Amino acid sequence: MRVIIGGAYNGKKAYVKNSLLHIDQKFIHFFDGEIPSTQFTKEAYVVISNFEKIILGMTDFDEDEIANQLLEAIKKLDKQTNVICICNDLGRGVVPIEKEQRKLRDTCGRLYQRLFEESNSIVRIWYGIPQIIKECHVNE
Amino acid sequence: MTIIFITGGVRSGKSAFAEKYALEIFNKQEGASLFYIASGVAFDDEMKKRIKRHQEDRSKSNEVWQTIEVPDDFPPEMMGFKQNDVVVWDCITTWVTNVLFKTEHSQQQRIIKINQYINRFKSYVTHWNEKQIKLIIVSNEVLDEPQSNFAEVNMFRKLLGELHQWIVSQSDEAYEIDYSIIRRWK
Repeated sequence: MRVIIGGAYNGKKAYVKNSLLHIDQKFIHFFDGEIPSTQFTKEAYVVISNFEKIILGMTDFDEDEIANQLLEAIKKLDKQTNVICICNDLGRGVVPIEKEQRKLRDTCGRLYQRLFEESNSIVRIWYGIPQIIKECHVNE
Repeated sequence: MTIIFITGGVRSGKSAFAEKYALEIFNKQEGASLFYIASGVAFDDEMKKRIKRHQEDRSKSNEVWQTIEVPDDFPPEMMGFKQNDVVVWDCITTWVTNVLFKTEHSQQQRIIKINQYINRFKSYVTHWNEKQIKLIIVSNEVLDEPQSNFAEVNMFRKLLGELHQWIVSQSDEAYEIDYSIIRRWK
């Protein structure tokens, strides 16, 4: 699994697309605000973005439950195929006044920590420039 | 010939770093001038104090800063910079905000007008670069928080993020400053 993290409108998706130019484009699948439940092959790349939307749809669970459920779903998917998570960094602004927004921010932080643990590669994007935060050399 | 981009959080020391760096470059040039493009508008007391503080910081140095006020539209002086002149623009975040205010009542024409401003900015930067002007652009980090509930704020974030990406792509050096700690990205 790989993680790409950065602020909004920093060029994260463009970076992912560029890093997959050598791959036959029919194997690349983008999901915005959704973890797909369909089957994928080992050649495929599944790019998931907008975790905020997924989290906002899970109002019945608390922070840790949401992080656990999403992590399990992503780990399961990553066993079949190659998962790339695009994470919007939400944690460095002012504490939001609305309860729902605060929960969203906290849950994203919790989930991202778990994703970071599981990922072989983490790249932070700052206005198009990548910074490698973690890189494990394993056979994916 | 040189474009330097500096961002950071509020009160991170961005302006101090930009001004110090500008003086360093300026002191190596012969017969060049030192310009400061100010985009802040004194619309309340807090903003007046903020501007005064920046002015006092600049007046402490021995060099003479020539200040050009650019809240939104570009005055003719901005075409008059000469080779090796050093220009600090502080800051682009404020300029983009002012452009949004300026175009607020333009309705359907608004996006077109905003893009005209952004394109003019890019063409000036490109022109200055060709004329070998040393340009230091200061901006803010405002994109590391959740989407706003206000469409206006999200439009601002998108405009600023995309403009930052463009500036970084054109820059020779790019720095992010957090509480006086300087990270060089490029």
